[in-house]
Amino acid sequence: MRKILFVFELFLIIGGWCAAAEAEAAVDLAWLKLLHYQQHFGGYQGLVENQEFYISPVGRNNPEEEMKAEIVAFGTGKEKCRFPARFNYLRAQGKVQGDLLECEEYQQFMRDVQPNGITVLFTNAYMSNPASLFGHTLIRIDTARKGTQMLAHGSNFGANSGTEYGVMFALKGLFGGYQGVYSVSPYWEIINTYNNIENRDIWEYNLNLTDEEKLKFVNHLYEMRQAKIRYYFLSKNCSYMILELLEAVRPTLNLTTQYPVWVIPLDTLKTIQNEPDLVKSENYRPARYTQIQAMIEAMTDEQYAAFLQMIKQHNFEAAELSDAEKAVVYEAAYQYFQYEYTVGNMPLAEYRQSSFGVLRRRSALPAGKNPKPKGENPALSHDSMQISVSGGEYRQESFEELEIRPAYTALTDSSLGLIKGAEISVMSSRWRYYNQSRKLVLHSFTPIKIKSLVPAGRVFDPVSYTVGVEVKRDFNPQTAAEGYVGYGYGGVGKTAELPFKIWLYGLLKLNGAYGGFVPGNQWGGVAPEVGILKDFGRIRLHLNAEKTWATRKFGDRFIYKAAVSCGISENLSLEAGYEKSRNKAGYNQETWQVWLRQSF
Amino acid sequence: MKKLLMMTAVVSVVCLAGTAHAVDSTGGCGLGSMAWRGQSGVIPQSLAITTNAWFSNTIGVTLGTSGCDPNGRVSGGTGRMTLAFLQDNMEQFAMDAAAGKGETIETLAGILNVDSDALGKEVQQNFAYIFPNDNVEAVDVALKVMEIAKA
Repeated sequence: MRKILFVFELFLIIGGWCAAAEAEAAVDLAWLKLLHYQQHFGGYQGLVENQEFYISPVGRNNPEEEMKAEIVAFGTGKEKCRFPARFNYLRAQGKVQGDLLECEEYQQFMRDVQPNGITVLFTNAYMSNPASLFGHTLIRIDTARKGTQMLAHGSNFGANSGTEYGVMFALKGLFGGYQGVYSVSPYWEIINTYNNIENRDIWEYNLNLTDEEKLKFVNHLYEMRQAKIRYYFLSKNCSYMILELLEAVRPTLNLTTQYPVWVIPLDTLKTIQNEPDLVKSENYRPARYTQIQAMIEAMTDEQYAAFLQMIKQHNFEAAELSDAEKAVVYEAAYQYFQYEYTVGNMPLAEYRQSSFGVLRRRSALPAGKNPKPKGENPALSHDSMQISVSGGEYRQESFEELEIRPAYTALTDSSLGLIKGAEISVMSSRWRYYNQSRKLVLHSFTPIKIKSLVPAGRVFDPVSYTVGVEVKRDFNPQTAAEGYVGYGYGGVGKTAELPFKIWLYGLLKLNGAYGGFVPGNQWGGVAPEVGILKDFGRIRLHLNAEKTWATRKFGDRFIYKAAVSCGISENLSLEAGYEKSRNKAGYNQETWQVWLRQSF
Repeated sequence: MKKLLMMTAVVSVVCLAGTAHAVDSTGGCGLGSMAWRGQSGVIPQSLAITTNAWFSNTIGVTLGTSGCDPNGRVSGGTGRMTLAFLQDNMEQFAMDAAAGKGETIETLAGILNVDSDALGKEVQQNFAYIFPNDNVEAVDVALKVMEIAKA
């Protein structure tokens, strides 16, 4: 009897499923992706929240009703003008007739934009600004206009946050308190914003799309101008939406499903790059800061002396240089004045006078040649998630360790395609199994850790800094007990590049520790840190030492660290490390460890 | 609980990171748009500055000849586009003009439908005519560039 019931139930389930499938038959994957439907409790829900994006009142949750409503609406009125991509889709299926010629606004849009391709833009991290360390992505509608792509249009998906900043901005951004919208602007404006004001390099990835797909992309962006989408900084952000657009244009692509929890712009870039034949070519557009640096580093000593005369004494003669040598110095000085003025280091009158003085002299010289900075393609960088297995010895006991780092990179990881000297670790944890005492413990949990080392150049003298929060298992020699301590620290300093590209850095940090296990519950301290970093490419070497003077003896300590990492491939590396920390209170620890690190 | 809140705040400030890009609700009238004027703070100032510091575009705006498109798009005929482009890219054009070549010259050559190399040479030779002093108007520069291109 039971068996029969079971079979009966099975029929019911299958029958129900088939019926559901039949009802949706009219709606295919292309339709679902074009309107950004997502599976939702067995049905569907559109990612776009506002009713203007749909025609049927139940359109957001019913793809089939929406299609029916659109077939009716597109057949008669001007509704089709708001949805050119959907109109073309339905027309190709023979469900509606007509064309878009009568759609004045749309036709004007097409005349302005004159599309002939699609390019994904990636802007690198903002110089020394942690708030942009993960980069940003935008779309460019390439133009067929005569001239250059400066006349193309960029499309940005961003949170409509008004004037809110700070913690409120962060919280609302994290938990979907803002609506994301698309904006369109001339590409020259995007170049100005990123290259010239924020000093971020731009990478352009031209996509390999068919003519039909290119048109669909532009038409779809036109539709998306009226879309409002709940914006989540971590998951439904600019980069996620680019993947959504790509899938809408080519429904066979499966990109968004690779990002169930968080979306890092650089990762989506790799996803696009790894898709066979999707990226046709890359182009690098260095930021103003990058250009100035390249020009200055390539100068001869005489040129550099003349350059210093110009920017410090405003003496623009440079009599001892040849015309070709002078030209480069004038151009570098002009760019430098622009930079100084933009970051607020130079008053307006001085800026105008200096710029004009330099350019007037430059215009009297023949066209010269400037060194073009070479960038490393960010899409070639190692993947951001990393799992490491390691073995080692801690306080005379051997252990195995599993480390999980959801994002992003470490100083001993390969720096190809990434900002040199930048370390960012988010939500990483280390789990240890001690062989002798046979216990499994969480050794450390690090919500955030950032170290940004930027060496001083000939002219620029940037600040290096570090900041971090960590919970770590520690040992108290007086009670012979182990427990957890929460640490927070931050510090600033300088980095110098020595011969052979060896980096030497010094940071002065403030740190604090908190935890019931610490004698006196907490301590605060001052900690100078010095380190040496050498990136040979495949082999990376990092040595550092720090001394803490703390409000409690327990916190007073010396820490020495040494690590050498060898890259087996871009995503696989072997690392060996030694760490020693000691203080007068008898706190004495030594760790040896060998890791195998895999990024993916 | 306090600690948790603090942690969330720190993490979120850092994480919202590169993905956080506020939309400028002032419309798409270029970086030098008048909307930025009179605002305090480094960012709005530097935004306004990049295009308006050396050159002012007040005439263009007051006469209503600005090429600034209400939709934030590249639009209009040759004259309007030349002006719009120069208003937003004056600093870069000044350098390219002094050097006799560059992306802004190639772009202008496209808008004006003339040869880019020839235009580069012309604007370099006429640099002192196009930029007679350190405070010129975008509208004057646009007119002079068009005049030179026609010659």
